[in-house]
Amino acid sequence: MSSREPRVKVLIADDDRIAAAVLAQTLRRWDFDVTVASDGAEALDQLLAAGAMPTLAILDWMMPRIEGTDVCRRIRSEMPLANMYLMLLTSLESKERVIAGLEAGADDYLIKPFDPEELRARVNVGVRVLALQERLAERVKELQDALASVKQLRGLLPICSYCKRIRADDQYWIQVESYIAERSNAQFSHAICPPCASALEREIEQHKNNRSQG
Amino acid sequence: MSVATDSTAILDLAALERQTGGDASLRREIVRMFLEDCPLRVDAIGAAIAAGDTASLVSSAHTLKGSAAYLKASIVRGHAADLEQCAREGRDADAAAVFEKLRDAIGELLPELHKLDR
Repeated sequence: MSSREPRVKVLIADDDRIAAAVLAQTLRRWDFDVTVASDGAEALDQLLAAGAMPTLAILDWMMPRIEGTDVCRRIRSEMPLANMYLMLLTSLESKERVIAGLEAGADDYLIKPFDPEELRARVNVGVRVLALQERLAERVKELQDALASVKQLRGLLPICSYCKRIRADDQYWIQVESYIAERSNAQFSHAICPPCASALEREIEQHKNNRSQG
Repeated sequence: MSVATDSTAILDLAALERQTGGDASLRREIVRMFLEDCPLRVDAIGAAIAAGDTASLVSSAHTLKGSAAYLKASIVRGHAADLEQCAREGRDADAAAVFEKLRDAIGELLPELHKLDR
C-alpha cells in the first residue's frame, strides 16, 4: 500500500472470529502490522503492554469480560499520555451511542459490517493523528533537552579574572568557550577583535624594535 | 468485474466479494468458520430460549447477526437482529417464533455456503 516505515501497529478486538478475520486480513492487505484479541480483557492487556508504541485499536463495542467502551475508559485513565487512536465498532448507529462511545475516550467509530473504503479512509485519519502526535512528542523531548542544557548555564560561575577560564563542576578549569559549548548548542568560531588586533600590532612592533636595538 | 448486489438474496455473492476485497482464501476461511460456528450458535440460542436466559440469548443472537452481516447473508442477519431485539425487550413468545424463521433461513443458507467451501 505504501512505503511507510515502520509499519503501523493495529490491534483488533472482537469475539466474533469471522468479523476479526475479515478486519485483520483487510488491514494486512494494506500493510498494517495486525494483532487480534478475542475479548476486551485481552485487548486491554495488549494495549497496556504497548506502552509508548503508537497504536491504532479497533474495538468491538459488545465483547465478553470488558466492553469496548470500558477498554477506552481504562486506557484514557491509566495511560493519559499514550499515543493510541481508539476506534469503536458498533452495529447500532444511533446518536446516543456515538456520543457515549466518544465520551468513553474513543477517537472514532465504525458501523458493522464495515465498508472497506470507509474503513481505509478512517484508518488513514488515525495513522495521520498518530504520526502528528509522535512528531509533537519528539519536539517536546527536544525542547526539554534544550531546556535542561540551558539550566546548567545558570547560577554562580567561578571565572579566572586573568585568563577567563571557568571552574567546572569537576573542579577543573576549562576555557570559557568549551564550558559553554558543552552545555548548549552554541558553537564558536575564533577571530581577533579590533582592540586586541591593535594591541597585538603594538606588541609585535615593540618586539621588533627591541630586537633591532639589541 | 462489477456484479450487482442483491440484499434480498439468502447470500449476496457480489457483496461478499466486495467485503473480502476479492480475496478468495479469506472468503473460504470465513465460510468455513461460519459452517463450524453456526450449529453451535443455533444450539446456544435454542438452549437460551428454553432456559429463559436473556443474557445468553442476546449474546448468541448478537454474534450470529454480526457473522451473517460479514457473509452478506442478510435474511439470516435480519432474523438474528430481530431475535436479539426480542430478547432485549423480554418478548419470549416472539423470540420463539423468530427463532423458527431463523432456523429456516439458515437451512437455506448452509447449502449455498457448502457450494463455496468446495
